[in-house]
Amino acid sequence: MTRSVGSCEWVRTVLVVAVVSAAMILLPMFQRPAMAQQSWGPTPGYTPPPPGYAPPPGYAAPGQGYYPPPVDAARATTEAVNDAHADTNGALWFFAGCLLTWIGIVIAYVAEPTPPPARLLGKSPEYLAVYTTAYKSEARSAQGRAAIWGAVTTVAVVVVIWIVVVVSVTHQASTYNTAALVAPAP
Amino acid sequence: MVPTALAAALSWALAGAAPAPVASVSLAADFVLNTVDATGTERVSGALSVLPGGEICVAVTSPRVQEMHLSPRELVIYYPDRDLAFVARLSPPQPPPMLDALAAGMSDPSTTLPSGSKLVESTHANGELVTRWRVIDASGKELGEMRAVETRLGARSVELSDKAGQPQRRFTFGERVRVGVRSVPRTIVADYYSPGGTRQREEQWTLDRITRFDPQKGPVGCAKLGAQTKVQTLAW
Repeated sequence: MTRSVGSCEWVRTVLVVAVVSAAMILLPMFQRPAMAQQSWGPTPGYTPPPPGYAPPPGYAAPGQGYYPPPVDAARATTEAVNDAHADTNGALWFFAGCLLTWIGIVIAYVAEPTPPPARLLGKSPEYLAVYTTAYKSEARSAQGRAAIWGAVTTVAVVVVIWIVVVVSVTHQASTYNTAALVAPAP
Repeated sequence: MVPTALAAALSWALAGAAPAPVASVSLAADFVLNTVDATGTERVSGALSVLPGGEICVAVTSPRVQEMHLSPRELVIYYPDRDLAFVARLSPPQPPPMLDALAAGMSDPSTTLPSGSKLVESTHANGELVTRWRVIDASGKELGEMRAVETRLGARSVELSDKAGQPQRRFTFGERVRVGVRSVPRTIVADYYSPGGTRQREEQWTLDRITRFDPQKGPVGCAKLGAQTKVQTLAW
């Protein structure tokens, strides 16, 4: 009986460690980098212009605070994110994660999604830069998320099967020990 | 790299963007593209050339002057007024850059499918051939389904759906005009759906003054870069 209690404690500890570790690894990966880039504040590494700098028309003058450039960056990002979601085949990457687990996740984050060129017709260079960056970032993130869900599903199924097997083996062993104890001596 | 190959196959098959069928078309035309999505409607106009071999050159005149050159392994977007070019170089297994709606309009629907695809249903009525294909890639994995309605002149509509039956793309083609051995639709409406089956955006293409490409006149909008052109690499 002592042995069976030890196994349960060990299983519980392993599960807690696994859940906490998985959460620490997965939560940052679930973040949406394209959306995270949207901010009203200056970008990291922003340096103020030198004295006497004359901004192009439409840009804020020095000392008047930070304003985004006239290109509709928010619109480019929104369109890129929407297109990335529409173009990403979540089911495909989910099954990739299911079958290949961590390899599937790595491939999902490495595979290069390509934006639709028709979306770039007649757009400004600034829009182009924002759109392609946001699209690739979001599409890769969506692929990765789907693959992670696939891998997590596989891991969960394996853990459940493993627990069932361990419990049944433990139960059998305890039944065997009890039977041996109560069995009449020859 | 199996999933990457699957994604590429899916992208080619379900976007109707296999380059081979387009390679047999060469034409020049003026175009108007209206894109409708949640943020509103945008109108882009200009001229385009589809060159022998499948390359496409687009000269946008409105709302902003721009040239776009799509070839199997390179995409160049050039701004003549700023002498600035963005160049994206592609390597396998990335699919070639393609204007999906145009590619779908100029292709025979069945030729865009992976070789393992199977014809599920074929009915002929009122001068229309309706076919339903199960899209299967080279490794035997089912990717989705394609339904095409064709007449003697060419395809009238192509609908691509995923395995759950949710629509992914729907192309509807208007009146066709013959250019060489191919017929090209004057209007194309391309609907793009998100994974849940919600329509995400619509592209409405109108082609005007469609003629066979004349090599002596040369293409327009092929993004010829000069020695002084500022070139930026575009992550693709």
